Amino acid sequence: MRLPLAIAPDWPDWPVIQTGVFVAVLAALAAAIGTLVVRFRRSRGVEREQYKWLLAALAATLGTFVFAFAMILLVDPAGTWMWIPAVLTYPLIPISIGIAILRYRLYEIDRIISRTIGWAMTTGLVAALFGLLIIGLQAVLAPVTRESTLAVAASTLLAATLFGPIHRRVQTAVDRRFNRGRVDAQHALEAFGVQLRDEVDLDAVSSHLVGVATQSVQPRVVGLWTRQGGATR
Amino acid sequence: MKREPLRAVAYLAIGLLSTGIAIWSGQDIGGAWIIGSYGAVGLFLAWRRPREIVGWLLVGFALAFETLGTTLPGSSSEVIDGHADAGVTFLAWVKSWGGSLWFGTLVALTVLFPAGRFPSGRVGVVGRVAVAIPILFAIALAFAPTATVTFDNGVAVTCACRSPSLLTGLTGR
Repeated sequence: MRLPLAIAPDWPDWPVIQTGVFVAVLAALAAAIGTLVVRFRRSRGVEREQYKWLLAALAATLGTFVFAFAMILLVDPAGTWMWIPAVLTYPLIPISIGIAILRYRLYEIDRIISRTIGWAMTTGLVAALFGLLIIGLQAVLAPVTRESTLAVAASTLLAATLFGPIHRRVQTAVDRRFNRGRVDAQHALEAFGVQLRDEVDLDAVSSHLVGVATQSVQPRVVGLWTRQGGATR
Repeated sequence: MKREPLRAVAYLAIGLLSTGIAIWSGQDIGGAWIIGSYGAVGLFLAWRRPREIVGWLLVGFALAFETLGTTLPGSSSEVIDGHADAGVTFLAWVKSWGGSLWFGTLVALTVLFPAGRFPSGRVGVVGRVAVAIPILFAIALAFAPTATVTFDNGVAVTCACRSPSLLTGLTGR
């Protein structure tokens, strides 16, 4: 359609602008994401946690798109079901922005990332183990059982039994990398528990307690009140 | 009733209202879901932190997406020949440059998050240029001699949740 507000309608380069707009705005978005990554790498404290929320949401959304394209290429080129996770994760981006701006449960992100990765890795490992067990047991038991469901039942039972131990080990390993605060706090509390068994001096216990609180919670100021007889010091 | 449940009810109401408006105006489920989520969080942030630009940008994103997803009534030839209603012609004109502006809100969100202001140093210069590009293109397209008019395809293959609506929004076609 012809636009009534056109300025310089005879300018020959209008088509270049009209066709180049998509490439230009995509380049602008790529540059904006680049600045986001640079700012994240330079950030500290609260600001870093805010960036983590947005980047985690972006990663989750991107992951669902990769999953959808992979399913289209590998499994079902005509299907639409693979877009459901992508559609479901659309709201993660605005919700993460809301949490970051309002600073509501801001520090939960490390735990969320750690748990998500932990459960995803456990699920993948158990699924792979389940598949290998079925193939292996069927090969071994085929001459004896003759196409019975014994291999499937045994694989399911083994996979279900191993789920808990695998998840504990995977989660501990993931926490060491993504939820360092939790691991450090846990170690500090365990060490404090060991010291309490042998320590009888109240001043030494108080000193240890303040040290553990500082290490695990990282507060700005620490104060300790103890009751001695009727008085508080 | 305590404040927390009241907030939750208000938040839910804003979300339902945004999604309802989107569905009422003819959006598909995928589009309404995007508009509802971005609009709801944006309105909530704008209500709680009116001075934070990020909330308003989310509202702008949802409104721009809503405008781009609205289908033009009537036939394309009426608009092209100049015989369509003034409202339809105006909407066709807005849609011709709205895609670039919608992208601009996305770029601005990325650059201005979380502080609500441009970063300092070289990163800030890159951010300013990135925000300026879609705005300048939107202005250029608004005053271009011609615009592409998009209408509902009568023989389009559709399904319940059309994720390609996002791609349609990205390309503005």
